[in-house]
Amino acid sequence: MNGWDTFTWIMALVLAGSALVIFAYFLRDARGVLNRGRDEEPDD
Amino acid sequence: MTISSLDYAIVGIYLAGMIGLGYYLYRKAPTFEEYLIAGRSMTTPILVCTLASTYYGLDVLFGTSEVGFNEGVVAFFGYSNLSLGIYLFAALALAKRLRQAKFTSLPDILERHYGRPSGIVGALASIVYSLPALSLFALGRICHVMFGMDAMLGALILGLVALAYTLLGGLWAVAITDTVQFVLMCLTLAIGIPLLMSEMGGFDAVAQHAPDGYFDWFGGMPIWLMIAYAATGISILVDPGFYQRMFAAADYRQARNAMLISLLVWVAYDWLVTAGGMLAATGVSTGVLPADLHSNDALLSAVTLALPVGLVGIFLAGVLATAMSTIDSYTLVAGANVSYDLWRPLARPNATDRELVRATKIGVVLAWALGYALAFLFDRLMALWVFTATALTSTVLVPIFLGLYWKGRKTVMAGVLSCVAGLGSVIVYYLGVQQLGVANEVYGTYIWTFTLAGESFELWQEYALFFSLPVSLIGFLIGNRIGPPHIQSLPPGASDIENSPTEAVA
Repeated sequence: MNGWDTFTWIMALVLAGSALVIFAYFLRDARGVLNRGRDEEPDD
Repeated sequence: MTISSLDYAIVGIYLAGMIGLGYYLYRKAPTFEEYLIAGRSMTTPILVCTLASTYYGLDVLFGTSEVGFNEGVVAFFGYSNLSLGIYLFAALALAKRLRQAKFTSLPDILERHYGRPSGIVGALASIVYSLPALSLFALGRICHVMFGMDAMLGALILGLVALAYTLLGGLWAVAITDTVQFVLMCLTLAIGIPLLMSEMGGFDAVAQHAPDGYFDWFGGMPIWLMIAYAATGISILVDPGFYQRMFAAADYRQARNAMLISLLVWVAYDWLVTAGGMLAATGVSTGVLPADLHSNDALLSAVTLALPVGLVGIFLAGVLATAMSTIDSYTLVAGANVSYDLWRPLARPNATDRELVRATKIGVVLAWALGYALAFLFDRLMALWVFTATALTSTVLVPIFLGLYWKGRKTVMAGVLSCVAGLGSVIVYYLGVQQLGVANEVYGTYIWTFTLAGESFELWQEYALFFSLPVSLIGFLIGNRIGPPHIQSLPPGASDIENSPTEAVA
């Protein structure tokens, strides 16, 4: 395998892995985010 | 381009989902601080998603891949990575300073350090920079290439989707839709490029068909042009969208960590779009792709060819996501500049939260409409965007950094003269090179060639920052000798010093 091929595979794994890990952490925080301030009335 | 019904359905679900999220977040009934900067409560994961998807728009997806298609690996090593040092500085030094001082917007920094006039000038420059003209134009072009739609109609329909959820939910809606968009952008590219590599025969095939210099790290670019391109990374140091996310962070560690993780994502993303462009060029050379394929469309055409049905729909949704995540962020920034940085100080100093949210929404609609009008008015939209980015950097970079880091006296005139001198020098430089130089179709710019002391020199329009930033600094130094020092008024909990006790520990 060409060195550039290997580099491309590594970068693809980094990008996909980062996206999935970050999304998993986002889901951990999401409940608090989505429920934050719910049912509140806007105040002046 | 042939797209299956399943792929269309996936794109439709994506668009409906974006509006649904916006409507759900609308029910949060936010205050102005919630609407604009998410109540200063964003954590690292959501900051990474919104930073990465906002700052990496279609200009990177198609611009970098186009350079990769035409010039090879220089797109990655020469154009993209030289800017990363500036991003690193933004992560390690700027994030802490910005978060501690509890600013609300970029012009707010100028107003606090130099008074209202500089804030107004900064707001105007920020609004012009943030108009979503280029993104809407690109969105229309994608609709035309992907779906065969009229570009203006495509930009109108999909741009309205982005406008709708931005209006409904403010920064929370922008950030949460950015999160979905970030995952789509990354996964589709990470799957599509290896499949494309396999389809084209890998980089051995690229090397067989590549022109000379295709694998030279820094290609044949003139050194000054390379420095000028690297200097475009400076724009993140004045980018209103970047600042908004720093202000929205729960604390500076969340902001710093998000920037550092984003750097890793950006490096991987940059290489994959470069590789996509190079592999597409090989596809043209081998006859797999049409010989008349435009280099701008190369990545889109090549990846859709390599992906199976179903994944094409997800990839196309990812491409739309790339454009929409930029449109939503900058229209919100421009709307806030209109309401918080212009309307509030000039017309309604005691505006209530409800009034500010309403004025911001009006500003968002105005910014979107102006961006849409400009998108189909100018032929050289990329050149227009480069000019507005250069103008914003020249106007606000020096006064903002001296405001944040210079401990000595700062007068109202220092801010005004620095902003005006920076902006004025860019306009004079651009017009001067345009008048004296000649148009270069290859680089899409003007170049003035002249002889001095027997030596021949070239001045490109892209070199404007080399002149405007020193001029802006001179403006600051002269103005700082005029009038008494400006007295800052800090909001509750804000601090200008390091290790603020108000910072929460991550």
